Amino acid sequence: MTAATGEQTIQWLGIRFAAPRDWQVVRHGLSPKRGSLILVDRYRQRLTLTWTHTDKQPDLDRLAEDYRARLLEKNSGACVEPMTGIARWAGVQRRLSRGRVAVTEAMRYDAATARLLEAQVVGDPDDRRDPEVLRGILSSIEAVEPIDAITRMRAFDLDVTVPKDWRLAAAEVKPAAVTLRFTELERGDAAHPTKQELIVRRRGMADAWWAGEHDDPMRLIGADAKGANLREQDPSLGGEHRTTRAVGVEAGPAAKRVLGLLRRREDAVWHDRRANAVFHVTLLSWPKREAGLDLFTIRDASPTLAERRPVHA
Amino acid sequence: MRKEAAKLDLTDLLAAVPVANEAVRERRNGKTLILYTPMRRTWWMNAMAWLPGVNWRKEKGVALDALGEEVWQSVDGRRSVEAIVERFAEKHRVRFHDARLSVMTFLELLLLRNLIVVIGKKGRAGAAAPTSLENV
Repeated sequence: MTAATGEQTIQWLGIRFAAPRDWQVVRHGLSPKRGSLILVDRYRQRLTLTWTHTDKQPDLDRLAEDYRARLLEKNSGACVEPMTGIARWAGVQRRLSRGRVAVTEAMRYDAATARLLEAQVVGDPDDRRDPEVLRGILSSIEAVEPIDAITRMRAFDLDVTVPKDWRLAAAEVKPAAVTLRFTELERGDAAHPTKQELIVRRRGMADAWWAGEHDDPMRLIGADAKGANLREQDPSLGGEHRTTRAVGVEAGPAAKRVLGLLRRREDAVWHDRRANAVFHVTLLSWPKREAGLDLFTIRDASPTLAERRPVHA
Repeated sequence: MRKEAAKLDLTDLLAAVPVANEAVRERRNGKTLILYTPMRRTWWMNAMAWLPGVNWRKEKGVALDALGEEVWQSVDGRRSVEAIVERFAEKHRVRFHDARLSVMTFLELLLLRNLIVVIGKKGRAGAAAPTSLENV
């Protein structure tokens, strides 16, 4: 990766790769069987990583030819050549004058997880480090978890590890505000989700809305946490940060509460000063099922202040 | 024939330099900064000004919150939009893309209220590269 901006590690739905630190995910898929991630730099879209679950290894040569034909169709007379020099990957590149690469379309098949991985990388012809960036990205892409056992998600400045049988159900991403929702699956079967739910929220720019030590974490937990009790300090979940925890039941009709038909609710809130963000985690679970916030690991994955500063070429 | 507004590339937008309207007056009300721009009076407003009870406003005010004030203070006639976004992102420890969305929304508001003008500059020479995969 380039020395200018350093790199970040992104892990999404069992696929891990490195990208320049100033690139950002702007579109994401939720299905481990089929989907894509789109990353942008400051000025333009740079990377589309697509995955497709397929038990049978596709004909990569034919795919490369399809890519070549597509590039030529959009840019008649362009120079489109096979991509070389990056182990395990096949593909084509559209080149500009003086050998600069405008776009790379590459693919490889990961037999261990039965996924076809495709990467479209838009080059930056004015960056002399661009070939190194391309090589760094492609050589770092790995399918590290099978599609039925995805336990770690690292993106959007969050690093979340869940137990086996928990799956990402939804991701809501807004500027400086991310919410990831996970659901436990019955024996890992995606067709049978349980009502166990984990909600992880990261709210950035805390200096603009959070009063620090003088603020009340229960403000975030809100009136939904009926009968909440506060317990002090649980460093295992919030790391080195002071964590406020509350336990109660989810909101619902009083009759359901009396009959025990509402889920137990456990909340944890902590303020990460280094990241300038507040984390709020909620676990909704049935008392009879073994589940507690201690089963999950939630960390901030944002760059440090020094890492954020770009080095202009 | 109506002339179509030129479409700006993102690189050009980031390279542009916002400049504050020199006629803007600042007034602080507690923690809130209020910016006043003079209002232009039309001929009929001037004509009616002599009527009793008619009192046209001379200025129009815009109140800024803390973040808005921060962006406003960053507009010094030299910093580009990109530099303002970078500064905002570094201060609040957010990603450039997230900061860009917030800052540019706010700059647009300042522009619409005649509090700033934006001087266009040519963006990075990388405009030769496709801006998205749709253009590949």
